[in-house]
Amino acid sequence: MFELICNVLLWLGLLYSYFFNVLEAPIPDRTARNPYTLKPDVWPKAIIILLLICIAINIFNIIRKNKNNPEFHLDALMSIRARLCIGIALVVAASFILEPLGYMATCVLVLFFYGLLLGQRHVFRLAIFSVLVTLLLYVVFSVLLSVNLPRGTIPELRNFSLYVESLVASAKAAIM
Amino acid sequence: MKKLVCTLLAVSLIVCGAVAASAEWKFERKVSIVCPWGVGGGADSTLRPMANLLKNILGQEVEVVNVTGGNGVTAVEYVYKQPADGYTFMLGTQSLFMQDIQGTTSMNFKEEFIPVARLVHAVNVITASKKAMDRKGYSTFSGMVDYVKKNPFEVSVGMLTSTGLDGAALKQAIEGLDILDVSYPSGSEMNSALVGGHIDIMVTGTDEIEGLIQAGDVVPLLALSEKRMKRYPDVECSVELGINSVLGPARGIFAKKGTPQEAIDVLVAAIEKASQDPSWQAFLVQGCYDERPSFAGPAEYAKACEEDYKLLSDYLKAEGVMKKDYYAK
Amino acid sequence: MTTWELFTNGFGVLADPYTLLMVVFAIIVGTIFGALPGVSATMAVALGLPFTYAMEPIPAIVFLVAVYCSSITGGSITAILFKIPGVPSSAPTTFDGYPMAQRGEAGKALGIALGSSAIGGLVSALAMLTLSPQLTQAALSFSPSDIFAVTFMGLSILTCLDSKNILRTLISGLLGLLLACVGQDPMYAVQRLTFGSGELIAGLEMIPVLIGIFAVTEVLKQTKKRDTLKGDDTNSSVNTKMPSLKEWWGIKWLLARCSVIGTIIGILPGAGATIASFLCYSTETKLSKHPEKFGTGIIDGVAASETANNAATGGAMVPLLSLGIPGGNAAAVMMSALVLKGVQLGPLLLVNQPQYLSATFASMVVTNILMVIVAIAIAKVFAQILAVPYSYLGPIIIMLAIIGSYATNMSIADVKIMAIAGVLGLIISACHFNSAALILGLVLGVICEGNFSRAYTISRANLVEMFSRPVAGTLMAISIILLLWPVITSLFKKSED
Repeated sequence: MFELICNVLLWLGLLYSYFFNVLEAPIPDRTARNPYTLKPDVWPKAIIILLLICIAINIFNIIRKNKNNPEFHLDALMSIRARLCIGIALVVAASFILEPLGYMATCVLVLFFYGLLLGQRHVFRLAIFSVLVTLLLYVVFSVLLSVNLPRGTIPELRNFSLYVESLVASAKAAIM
Repeated sequence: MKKLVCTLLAVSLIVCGAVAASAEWKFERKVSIVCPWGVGGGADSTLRPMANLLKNILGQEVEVVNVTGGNGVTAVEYVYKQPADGYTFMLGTQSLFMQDIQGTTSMNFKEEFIPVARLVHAVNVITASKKAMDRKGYSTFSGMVDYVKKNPFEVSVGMLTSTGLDGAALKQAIEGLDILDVSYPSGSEMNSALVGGHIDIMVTGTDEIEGLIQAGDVVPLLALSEKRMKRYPDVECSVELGINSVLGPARGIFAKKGTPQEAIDVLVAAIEKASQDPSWQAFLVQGCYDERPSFAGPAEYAKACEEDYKLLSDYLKAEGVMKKDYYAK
Repeated sequence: MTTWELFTNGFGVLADPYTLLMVVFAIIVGTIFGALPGVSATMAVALGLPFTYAMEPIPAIVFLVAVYCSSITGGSITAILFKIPGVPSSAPTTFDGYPMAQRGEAGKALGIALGSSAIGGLVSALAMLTLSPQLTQAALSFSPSDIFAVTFMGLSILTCLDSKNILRTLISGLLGLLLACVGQDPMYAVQRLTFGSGELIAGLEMIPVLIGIFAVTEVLKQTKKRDTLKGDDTNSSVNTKMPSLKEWWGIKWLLARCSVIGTIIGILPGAGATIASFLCYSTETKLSKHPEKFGTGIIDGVAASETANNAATGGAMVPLLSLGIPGGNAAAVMMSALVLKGVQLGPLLLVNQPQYLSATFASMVVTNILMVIVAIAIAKVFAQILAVPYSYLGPIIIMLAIIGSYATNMSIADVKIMAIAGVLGLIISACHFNSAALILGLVLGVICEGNFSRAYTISRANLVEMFSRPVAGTLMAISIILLLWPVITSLFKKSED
């Protein structure tokens, strides 16, 4: 059932994009006048048409296969576990808090809560671990590979990141 | 209560600003300059030697951050999100103006960013493939023009995105001719297609193809400039042929609006000093950037940007892809 | 200079102990950079740039080449152990390498990956030394329609990746091609399929999608499993048994084919290691006697992808040295390093200063041999991480995925794309779609459309003229047969029922 819903939604979504979203800006005039250019909508439209045909056949196949399957209506959706939903929510949430909170806070939170989700019961140990791994990854990526990890936009957290960076800079200067 | 906090904040900000203004600006931590194009490309290889020189002058780490994608738009959005505290600058070219006019940036680049200083100003050259020239039998720019007039849509021209700067320069140079535009995602793909004779001509700076020109695989036909180039004195230039096309990529530093003026002043002074450095002068010769004056201060660069904005607005309007009309009456 | 003189001259450069020491250093950092997600080979070479500022031009290129080759190899370590491709070109390595590691055969998978990397690298280095002028001419003669035909052949494999599920695999591949269209179009920079989102204007970066669909989906699946497997928190131990000589002998032809294909793809500007490894993986699936085993954890899959991506490194150096045109992004960085030092690149370089070619060759040979030893040591360290309980390891993988997708472009949007791709990966497997096919479509989509469009314009909208070139015509004919073959056979089978 879940598969059927996905396929139908995909089909409808593609049909909608075919009409409204393939081209979202005008084609330059000179290009439009040249008879020998492939207009930028041809390729995606061809793919969408092929997809519409293939997905339609797929939907037909799913229905035909499950016609006599009584369990088909008992939903696959119900079998998605709560734990998985929390997992998805955590990953998506992490991608949204990364900008305001910055790397440090996000990393500690993700490591801690995802660890809890995966069944780690030693909360104290997990907290220590989260902080240590955050520092380790910071050293590897920010200090050694000079990747600019996000500092966060909340003033306190941003200032904290800047403070850590200044510590690193003075440590580097001391070593040199 | 909220109001009170806001007022306090505003007052403290003003006080801070006033304090900063009275004191000489000193960079206290590493300065980032965002490069909207990839490592190893023309923009990046201009910025890196400059960043190296600036580091010695400013006494702080000056790092080049490559934020690529969307013809430079991703980088503009990135810098726009950073606080205007004088520690983030970006490299810009006319390509960013074109994206702005076409409405792909979420803000008005022209109003939200200030030109700080120009680093280099290159000359664009129309070059031809030796293989294709031999096949089609022309050897000069006017020969090519005659060929196109006789055989419309037979000459293909390579460029990096036809709504980019190359497209605009070319459009001016060969107004009204029927040619086939072929866009390439990178200079290297375009260069090898030209050497292989799959495309006939291309518009480009000469820095990356000087070796190919010396070997004779690529022939410069026309320099899009006011006077002939020093290194190719036999190649005609557009102005002497009466062609009004002198657009060449100018790479300069931009700052987000609101960046402390003192920080900009210190940076401009540092860039001006670095521009005198012998190693930078050697780089200019090596990269074919010595054909035009390179360094330009804020006022001069802003004027040049304004002229380009006007010119490119007209071009994009004619192409029917203009979204933001800065010159609407 | 004769080939032999080039040969001795090159090793002469490496006889200098300081240069040799720098090469060893380059191999160590290169392998580690490659293994870290988000640090692509190009970024690894760029990170190596500051070390070359004080060097002479020849040692500088020797150093950067060593970083480049070893980072491409390093990517396979994390691909096999954690299903995170350290560099994009190791993505196909996860298809078979990760299932092998899951079965406890991580040692064998790593052995195959490192060994075949070295073989691919050595073959392409030899090709570069001896055949540079011919290879260059061959690459230059490839027109856009030929390049389109090559990538189309890679796509034609779609109907064979999973013979029981042709339709769904085809849908997945087409979806990948469609996702590649998102953002500004390659020719005229017209926005497509962005649904008004400014964050999609630059299109979907390959790396966040790869990391999301592979690594994050895997962690989410494990999260679901934890429900049923409460208490069982330890991983199976890592078996460090190496592949046997007999197994190596069994894939000799595969190694030869992938080395050749990888080198040729590497030379083509715009292609490169990632496309080489995908194309070889799909070609080998096609040629295999047991295509159904691909993707379940067999050495052939790992060897195909890793031979090809290292063979592409030698290929990428050919146009750089013989024309001054970089064959890929990493080569472009090397070019900028040489230009900074005042080296005049171009067709005359090999005539006037052949020592650049010979030194590059020597560096590649030394790197590809030493790299195996260094990489095994580094892999052993990484493998220790596998022994960490999953409730610690899972979150670390999520965090590495976040940093890896952010670091490519300092883009929060890429992190969101990665998270969405992770969820998408779950939906794909719930719908029995094929994530490998989707990635194949995404990787080949841009180059496929761009070259089709270019070829279409150059041949003035004449499809017959477009494919009447010998290379393009032959490849297209083969691809169409490949594409239709399973469909035809399955139709016949059905009518017999």
